[in-house]
Amino acid sequence: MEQAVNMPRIGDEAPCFEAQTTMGNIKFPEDFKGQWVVFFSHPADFTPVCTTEFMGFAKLNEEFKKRNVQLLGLSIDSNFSHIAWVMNIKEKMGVEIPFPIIADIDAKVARLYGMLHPGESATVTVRAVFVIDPNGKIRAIIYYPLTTGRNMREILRLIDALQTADKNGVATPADWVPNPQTWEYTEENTKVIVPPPTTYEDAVKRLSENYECKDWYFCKKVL
Amino acid sequence: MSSCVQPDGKPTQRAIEMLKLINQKPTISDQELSTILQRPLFQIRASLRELESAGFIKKQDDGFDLTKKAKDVIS
Repeated sequence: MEQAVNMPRIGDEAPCFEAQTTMGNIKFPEDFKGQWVVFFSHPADFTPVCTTEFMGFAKLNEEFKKRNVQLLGLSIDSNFSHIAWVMNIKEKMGVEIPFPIIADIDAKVARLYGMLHPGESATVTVRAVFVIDPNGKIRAIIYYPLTTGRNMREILRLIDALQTADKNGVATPADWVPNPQTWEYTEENTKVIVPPPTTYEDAVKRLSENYECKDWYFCKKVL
Repeated sequence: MSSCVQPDGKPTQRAIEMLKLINQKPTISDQELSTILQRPLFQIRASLRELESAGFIKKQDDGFDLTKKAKDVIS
């Protein structure tokens, strides 16, 4: 018999939970009332695509803050793992992660929000994004698979669109943006991630291979 | 794990700063605390909850009262 999966939907109240994060314990959504929240899951700490996503979110954190948005991450990892990873990103990539990450080691919150998709992986969360408004209502949901990093500017555009719709009683068309702008993509955006090594031996070897590496688990190449 | 009360029950430096601000203005809002201390709002709310649970503050309709335990700490 197929197991019933809890999947919150757009328009639902954001399910409540208490959790430990890298910035202390939280009650959700109670502690975030009055703010928009971009609540997102990533598959695992110390994985390359997730590292690029975290750096992307960190880079746009001030833009999210200007829009009264609090970022909130989650994965099925321990708080110690999260802290070690955040410190690793600071040390190796020079990027400070300015938002909390939930340590969902028992996957309770991941299940509550339908972030585990067994067809993709039974043990790690997919790349889910829940946009929750200041009243604690789910306003948008995005799911990406493990292989594909999200576009943080699109998430910011989504926030702009929702806030514009609320403020002006309008809807926004395809590719709408609040101001004319050019999103800059460079050669760096064309590089792909080399799957991280899965044994200690390969991890040691990886750093001497001909890839562009920031650390043993995070290497890129040009196709 | 608490971020503003240490394992020995004493408040952290950040918590002492919050207690001093509450002592100066018992009607101070969580938003004001967030702005002054430059900490995220959710963290201020969690800290207020921890301080109340540890017996340093008591929630009132229009703000917070410091308990004797808190006043002893900041005096």
